[in-house]
Amino acid sequence: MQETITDKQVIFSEHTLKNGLKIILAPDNSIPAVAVNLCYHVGSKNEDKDKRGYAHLFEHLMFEGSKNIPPGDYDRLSLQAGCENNAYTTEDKTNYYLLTPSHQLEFGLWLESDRMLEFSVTEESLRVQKGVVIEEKKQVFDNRPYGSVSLKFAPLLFDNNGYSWDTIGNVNDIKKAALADVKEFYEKYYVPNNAVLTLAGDFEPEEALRLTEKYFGPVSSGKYDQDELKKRVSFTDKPIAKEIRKVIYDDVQLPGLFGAYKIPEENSDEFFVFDILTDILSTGESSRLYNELVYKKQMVSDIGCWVEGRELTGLLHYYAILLPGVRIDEVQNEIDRIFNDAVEGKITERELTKIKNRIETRNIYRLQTNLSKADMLSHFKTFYNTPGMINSNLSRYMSVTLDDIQNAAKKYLSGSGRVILEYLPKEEKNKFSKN
Amino acid sequence: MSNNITAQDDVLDRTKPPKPGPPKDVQFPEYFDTTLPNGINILVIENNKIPAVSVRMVFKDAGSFYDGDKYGLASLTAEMLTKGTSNRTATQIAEEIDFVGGSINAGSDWDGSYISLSVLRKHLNTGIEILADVAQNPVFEDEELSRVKEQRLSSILQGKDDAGHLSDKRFNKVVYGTLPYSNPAEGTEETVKKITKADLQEFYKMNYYSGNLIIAFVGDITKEEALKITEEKFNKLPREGINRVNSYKFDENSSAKKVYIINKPGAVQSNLRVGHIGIPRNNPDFIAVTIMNTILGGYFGSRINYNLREKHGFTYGARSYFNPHLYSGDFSVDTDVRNEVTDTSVTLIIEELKRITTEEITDEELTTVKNYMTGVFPLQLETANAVASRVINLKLYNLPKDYYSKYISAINALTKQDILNAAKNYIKPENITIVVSGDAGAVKDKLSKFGEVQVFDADGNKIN
Repeated sequence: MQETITDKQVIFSEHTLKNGLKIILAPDNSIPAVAVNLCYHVGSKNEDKDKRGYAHLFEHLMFEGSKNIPPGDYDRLSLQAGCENNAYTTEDKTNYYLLTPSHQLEFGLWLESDRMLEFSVTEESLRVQKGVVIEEKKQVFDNRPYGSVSLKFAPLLFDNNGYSWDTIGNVNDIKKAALADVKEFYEKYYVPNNAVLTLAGDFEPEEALRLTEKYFGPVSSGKYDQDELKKRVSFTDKPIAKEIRKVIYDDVQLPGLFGAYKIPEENSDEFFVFDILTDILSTGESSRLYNELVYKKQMVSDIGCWVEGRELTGLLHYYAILLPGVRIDEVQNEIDRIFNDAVEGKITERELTKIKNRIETRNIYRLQTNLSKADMLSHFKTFYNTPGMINSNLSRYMSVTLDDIQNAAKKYLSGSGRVILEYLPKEEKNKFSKN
Repeated sequence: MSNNITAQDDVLDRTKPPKPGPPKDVQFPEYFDTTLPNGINILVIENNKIPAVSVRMVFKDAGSFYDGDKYGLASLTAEMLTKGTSNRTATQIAEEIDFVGGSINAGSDWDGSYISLSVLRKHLNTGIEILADVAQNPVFEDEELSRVKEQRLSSILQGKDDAGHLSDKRFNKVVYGTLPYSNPAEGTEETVKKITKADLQEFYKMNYYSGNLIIAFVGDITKEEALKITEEKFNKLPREGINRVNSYKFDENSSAKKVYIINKPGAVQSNLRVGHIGIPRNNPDFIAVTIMNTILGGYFGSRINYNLREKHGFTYGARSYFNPHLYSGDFSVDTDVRNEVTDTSVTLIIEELKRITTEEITDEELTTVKNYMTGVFPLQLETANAVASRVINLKLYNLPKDYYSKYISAINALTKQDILNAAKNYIKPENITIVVSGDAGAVKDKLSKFGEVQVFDADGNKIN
């Protein structure tokens, strides 16, 4: 018998092991599989200034062996058990997941707990994974049109904290990483009292809890005081005082415009307001930016804006890829005019209702898979100690009003600073220098 | 609610993986399948896990394969469906579907054209009205067409920045030879500019008819509802389109070991394609070939990824693919590697191609791949849309109805000899084409050991 998500919310229970590991169990027997999601509360913002990229490099190393798992065996054994695995790193967290057939849940917990138990990476693995990460940076950032946007943005948006560099880090820092450095990183952050383990899928909760306790219970909480560690990551930030504009000549055919404003952090009321506003402006072909600049005026081939929520800040991004012959300042003026409509209270009730309908749909589709549920539960627990946000966030969106939108737009978009990157084809530079 | 638990004290042997319990039986979901007198094939994949419905209309064998010399025609025709009907303007279509939080998309691939609707159950009627309108009453208005063409031209231009895109284009051109699959489905600057409203109307008339239409209803909807909707709302298309005779020769391409470089001066990596012609989707050996390819380069634990990434650290990842179409297919190994190891990577790839065609795989490789494919199978059935894609593919590619119910047992029946046979029959190390999108100055000389090297620019012009 299937349950309908709007009628019954996501059901879960919370537990804490003695060593501080927080556990969330969300049973759902739609398919015979379980998502095992482990979120460590450490990301690139925790890195030292000369060790940029270590959190992400470390994510790679976590697949390279642990106390009882020799190098290469994490993946080999996981495939043999019929599991899918992967991980990702952000500025604020490092998230690992394993999708196991339900009869292999115990295997999954064994495999995952071993790499929380004891670090065991070799010089050889470190050398190879540095190479992999450097190629990852080239493939994703350097060798792709407009691929360097986030690398350029970070130091311009933030000048004195862990958000001043992109998660991928710095190639020279990565090359320098020694085994002792990564071991220290592990001992600081890869401990049960800095992690949330979520299981979502086909299991019996009491049995699952017994198994998590069996495998994770004996892991020690480490020698560092987590509260002290968090305090030492000093985070000071200030608003951007004025407009910072930078021109980048790149291997691109069409000019691209990329902008960002600072807004309040992920879980703030205003963040929800901006999530709605950016959808009003750019989601769907009837949205303002698309309708006016792609459709009516045919100035750009692609345009969008969205919010990026982080633990300690928020960003409102926008971008446009220009059609041939269109000038960047013309497009910027149009975007500013449309943003200014929001500041002046010209967003309509119909637009707001439309986006609330869209968000309701989006919310329902997000709860379709075990992995997506587990990821959200881990996230909300890690940062807000409130996994129930998976059910309650929708009402925060639904309560946003037109006044909220105007107030937030006024406060953060009008007259405040922002960072703008203009990507121009390399030939333009040559033309310019010839003149 | 939060409670503390004390760890158990029993001695735990962590040195070996715990034994799994008995696997649960995984059944491919049942679905409803019927054909109406007007030829429409209705599929209903009912699943009320979420209160939403997707409807997918697929016009079989109605894709870019039939572009003729007007490359881009099928995809422009599909894209224009949502850009105006005899009842609604493009703006009205976008506004009405956006307002209910739904989406309607139309597009095409090589072998079919499709329109899909995704909407919450409570807005199904609105969604259906718009879907039926765009599918049956498109007007292909000139002004809208010129907009869509401008967008397409800019996306073709942008494609010239993308190393992977450039490699794919060159690879297809060489490997498919005289088959239409060798052409760019998005079109070229020249062909897109020439396509007219009359071309679109003609393509629509020939390909969008009820006799080749599948409508799949997916999610929170019953078969009775689906039948009623189809009979009442989708009855305006003609029964038949224009019959075509397919006169292409589907023989093997004979180009052997030639190297094609698309020059991107200053590129920090080489984007590689190494491969040759492959197989159509309904080749009876498809499952054996898929499993063989999984071991070779199809998943993270494959030989090629292990060799290039985990052993050497040359790349962020390397994969091989059998990319099947209705009438043919291709096989390629795809990766991005640093410039200095471009030729070494090609050598390693060729060694792997030779090894899989000459030596039996190990027992462990076979067990691993079987366990993996069986283990991840339920994940592929987790959403109603994922199930629907599989059911639609059975129809599109003329596969047997019990294909997925027998899928796991077919995999488990494969032997090492079957895998070797699949490799011997479908991997041809002596017949490979090598395409590199990268800095010709840095890689050209070292690649000449693999065969004659030709260099092209991003526009496809030969430059040496």
